[in-house]
Amino acid sequence: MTERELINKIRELKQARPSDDWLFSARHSLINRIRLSEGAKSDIGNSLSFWGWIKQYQTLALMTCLVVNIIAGPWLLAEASRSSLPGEMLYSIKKIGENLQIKVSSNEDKSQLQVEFANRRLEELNKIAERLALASKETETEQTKQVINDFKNSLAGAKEYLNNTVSKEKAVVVAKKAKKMEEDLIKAREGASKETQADFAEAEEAIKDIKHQILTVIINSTGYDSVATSSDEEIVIYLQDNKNNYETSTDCDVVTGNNAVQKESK
Amino acid sequence: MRSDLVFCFMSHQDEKNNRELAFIQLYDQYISQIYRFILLKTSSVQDAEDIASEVFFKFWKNISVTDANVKDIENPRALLYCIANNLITDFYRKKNKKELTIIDSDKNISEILSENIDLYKKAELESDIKQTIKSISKLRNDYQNVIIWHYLEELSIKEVAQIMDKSQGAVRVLLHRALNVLKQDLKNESKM
Repeated sequence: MTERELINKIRELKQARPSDDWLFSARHSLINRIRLSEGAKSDIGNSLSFWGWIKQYQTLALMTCLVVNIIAGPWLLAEASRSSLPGEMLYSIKKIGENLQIKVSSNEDKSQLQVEFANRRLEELNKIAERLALASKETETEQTKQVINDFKNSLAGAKEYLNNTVSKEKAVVVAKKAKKMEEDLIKAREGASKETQADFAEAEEAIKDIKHQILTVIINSTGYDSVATSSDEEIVIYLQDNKNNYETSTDCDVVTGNNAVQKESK
Repeated sequence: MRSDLVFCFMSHQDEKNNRELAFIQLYDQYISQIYRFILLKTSSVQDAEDIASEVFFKFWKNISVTDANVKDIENPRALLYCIANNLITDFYRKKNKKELTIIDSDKNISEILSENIDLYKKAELESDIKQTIKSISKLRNDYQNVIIWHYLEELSIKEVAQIMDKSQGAVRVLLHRALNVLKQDLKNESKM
């Protein structure tokens, strides 16, 4: 046998090869085995992987979130409650915030703050009056009653602040708002159901009450004789018309002591 | 920065996929050769299948430790044979078997032949192959290896030298001697 023949005999062994079925199944199981081992490897915590990076900064991210929540949370809550109205969830937050502001402010700033809050009460009243108009159209008695109740509560709050209001100009502004409020209330009452008429009457009484309070403030303030504009004078007249229907001895005494008021009553 | 992170993640994922793809291609290219080598050394189809799978898994583990790619390896085939040789040595150590084994029955021979060969040719091959395998199995281990690697699997002298960690001259000498011994044995068998 030559060397070439021997080599050819050896090369016949190339016919020995694995079955196609085994080739397919072995390939598949090898791929699975590799992927399982890769998965276990990444679970150990490869710092170069994306999730490893996240874990590395997990504590820092958590602390940052906590700080942001602690600092920004109350501020965001205050901002969210700013436009809330009586009966809403955040309104109590709003009142707490305002009370806190008054407590921490100086005596000089307190009256100014209270005037600002009085204005807010009137803004709320306007929004509630708008809701009243909608409520009457929807003829939902319960909702109307709730809104009117909130309205009266707001007026009571405004009256409380007006007790401490010293500025005549501010009082006139408040009076103008009360006038508009009354007009809106009358409109809302026209379309309201019979069941709510009594509630509307109570609301109108509350407005009359606050108008009297405003007039008292104006009378008690200095420089009453010199009203700033003609519209201010109209407001005073408007308030006095209300006062004439307001029967209390205290008010009569106040009026008697004022020349301008005496002139009108004549 | 967010886009950079996503890019890094995607790049890392692409690299991983490329590495896996290259490895699968290597597997498809060399699985039959590795299987054949192990089969001739162990004379058992079952053991050849198990060890062949283990060879490739070990190869993968070797490259994944350093995140290397198959393409980065100069001679992956040589590395595969190296791993196979070591696993066969471990196999015999565990089984406490002699290194020289013989495929005895004709049934085994027909099992290992390709399914695509027609029956007539298969019958012709069976007797020749059986004799060749018998003679090769009588050789000592390093003679078996050089014959299988150089003549059967057509590795170059340089590649064989790399696997065996010997000089090319030493490998040539081994080849010459191995062929002589094999020729003598086949001659003796044919006379019998």
